[in-house]
Amino acid sequence: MRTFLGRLLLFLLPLAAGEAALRLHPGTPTWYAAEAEEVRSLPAATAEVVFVGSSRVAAAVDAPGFAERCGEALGRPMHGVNAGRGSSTAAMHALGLRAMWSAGDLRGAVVLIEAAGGVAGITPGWSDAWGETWAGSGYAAMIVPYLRLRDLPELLGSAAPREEKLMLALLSTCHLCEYFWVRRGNALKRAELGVDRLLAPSTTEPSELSAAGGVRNDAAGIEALRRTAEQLARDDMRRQTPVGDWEGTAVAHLVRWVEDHGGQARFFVMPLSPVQQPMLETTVRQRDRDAFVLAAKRWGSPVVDVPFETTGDDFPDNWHMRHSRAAAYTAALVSALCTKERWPGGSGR
Amino acid sequence: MLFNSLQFLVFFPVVTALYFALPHRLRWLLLLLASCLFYMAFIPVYLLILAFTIVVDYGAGIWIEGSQGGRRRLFLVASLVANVGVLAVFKYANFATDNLTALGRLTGAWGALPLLSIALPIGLSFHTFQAMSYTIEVYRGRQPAERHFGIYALYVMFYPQLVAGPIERPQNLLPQFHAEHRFDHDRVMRGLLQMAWGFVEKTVIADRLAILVNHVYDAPGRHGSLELIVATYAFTFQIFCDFAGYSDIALGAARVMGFELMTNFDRPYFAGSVAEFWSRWHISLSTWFRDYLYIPLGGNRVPRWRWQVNLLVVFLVSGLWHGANWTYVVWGALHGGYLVCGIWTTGLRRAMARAVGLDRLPRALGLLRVLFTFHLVAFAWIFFRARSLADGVHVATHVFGPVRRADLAGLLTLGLSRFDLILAAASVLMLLGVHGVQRWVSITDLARAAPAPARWTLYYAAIAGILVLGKFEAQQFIYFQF
Repeated sequence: MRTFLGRLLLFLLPLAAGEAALRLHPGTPTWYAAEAEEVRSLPAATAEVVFVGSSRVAAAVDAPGFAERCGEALGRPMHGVNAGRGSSTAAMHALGLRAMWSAGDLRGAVVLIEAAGGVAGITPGWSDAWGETWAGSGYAAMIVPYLRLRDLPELLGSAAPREEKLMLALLSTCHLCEYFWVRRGNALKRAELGVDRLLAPSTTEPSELSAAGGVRNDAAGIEALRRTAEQLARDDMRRQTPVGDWEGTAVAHLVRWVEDHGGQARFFVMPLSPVQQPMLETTVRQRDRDAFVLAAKRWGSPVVDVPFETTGDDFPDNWHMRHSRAAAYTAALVSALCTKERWPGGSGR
Repeated sequence: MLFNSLQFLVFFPVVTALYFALPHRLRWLLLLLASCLFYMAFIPVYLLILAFTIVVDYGAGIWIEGSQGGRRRLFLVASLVANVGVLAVFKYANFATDNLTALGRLTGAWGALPLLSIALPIGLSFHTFQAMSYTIEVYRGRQPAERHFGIYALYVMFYPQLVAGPIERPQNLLPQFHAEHRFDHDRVMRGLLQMAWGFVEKTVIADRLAILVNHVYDAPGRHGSLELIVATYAFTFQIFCDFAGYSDIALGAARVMGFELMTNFDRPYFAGSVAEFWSRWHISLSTWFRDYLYIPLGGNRVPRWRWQVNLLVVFLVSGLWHGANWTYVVWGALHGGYLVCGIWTTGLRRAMARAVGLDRLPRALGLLRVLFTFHLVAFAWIFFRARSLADGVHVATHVFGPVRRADLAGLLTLGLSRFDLILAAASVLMLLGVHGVQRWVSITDLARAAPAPARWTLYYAAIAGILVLGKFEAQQFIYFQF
């Protein structure tokens, strides 16, 4: 037994050294944490606009461009952040916003949330009850940088699957585990891309998609997502279940959190590809959408319609808007939102 | 609790450490409590079903031992009826009802009959068969009745093999619970290595292949011949790696604590005949059927036609044991049919080998036999995996369709990226390579005999390999449903 314990200690020693090294030299922040660093350096009078949602938002919204044009329309300096990211959940955004808020005074900040994400079916986890989905399967590393020790009781007591809770608790307490898990994900992604580039016919034309928010814009990635979108739409339309009451959902929690911390939330409608749009046109989702619009109004965060015409060609991977259309969509957002009557709180911060 | 879960990663070292820390007289209690916890991670209330069969069989064992003649037989029958009754209610009642409803509709005699709204308890067929093995062995006088209720309960519930076997015999397992197991460094390391290999089989190979297989078999009508062929080969290796992976983790976990469970797999895809396949695949189940069904039916010591009927009966029951669905019955019937055809064609096959000169090339003949057996087995797996008989027939008839070069692109639409496809193919080749080497020498022994630096590198590499290349969406083991 003593020999075994001795060797076990010897085995664990390099791992303990790795953990200590990572605690002494934490990694560079990404996503919300990186934005928080930027917010810290802004002049106090700058109004903050944060776009929240999936990778669709990352691809279609030019946040600095929006801030510039909206600031001009309202006559005040504005700073825009696009926090849209693929596979993100409402819980990730709630904790991410908390990280931003702790970096600077963001009272009066406007948080623009993707309404498609607030309607079931498109983005997993948004219409689940708060605490039911923290991170989608395989995306634990995305939320871990924003989980604090004080969140663990709520996490462990939540209705999320036991395995997800254990994984998040492990990754948020063991730096070496988080480091390994993040590197693992990156290495696998690089290996996939490498093999695709090696074997798939490459395109020399500039990509039609922006890589923002984790969007794959290589030929093989676009093709893979096209098929995934078709499959997802088929599967979703076979087994749609109504959300029912929106009050207890993660997206309701997100809105409340923003309002409680002095911010203001609005929902904006993202155009969807002709492959994904039918998912929201079923009777079940029409009812959900109607209920959502009423609920959002009750929360004081109405859904803003953004008139914008698209065709199938605007979505090369059936999911994300073509990069060249982002400026036009951003302009449509400015027209829909940036007037003294429509902008939350008028023109004052 | 799944072996491939974080819960088990905490559970296993804690239980093992406590096991060695506690005095021998308390270890059974620890293992029993741990096994209850392990089982309750699925559906807690189903522990009551286990408790029911444990109480019935414990009592039956003592009563059988203490009685003679008709009463002895009566207690055995009561125990068997209780066990088979639990199986009948929880596993087969809805299947029977579905078929009666279909019959009623066909004849116009009656309408839909009500179904029971119950979920199948995890691993029910495994622990029921293990419990039945106990009372039968006591009845046959080959095993004394266990007086210690806790030890008997542990025999049925021992967590490493509770939900998917191996289906142990009381002669092998019960004495091991009474014996004191001291910490043995070499044995612990061999157990841990076996567990690591099981994790490689499950997380790196089986769960990766599962993505492709599920994609195709969930809607086989949408796929062409090549995709069906690839998915069927993939399932052939998925089911092996899933089940053998579970067995290796179970055997390894038990070995760490000093328990030796029976070997369940012996490189089955290297079998030269279907009969040999069944002496290498799920050995604990095939020997169970041999000892408690095939031999009591007369085995092969009966007229030739009866022997063939016995084989068919055993494989039909084996099919039904796997699941309450006609697909499993067809799968069993196919294997039974293979064996019967094998009997009929023995002479013909020998003559053919002689005619083409293969009898002078034993290695080539052996390879041909292995390939032929592999394909027979793979074909039968179609029905095992298909969601319905109609799906099974569709796949079985379309795998022989034309394959075009252009269909190759379709393989990239099956849920796996190019990288994953290459990795899956490479890991299957590695598996076959390991099995090839294991014919002569055990990989575990090789690893244990290596110099310390090489051994330690291997340990770190194995763990890193599992963590980096494994799929960790906690996919349930296929055999849990049985």
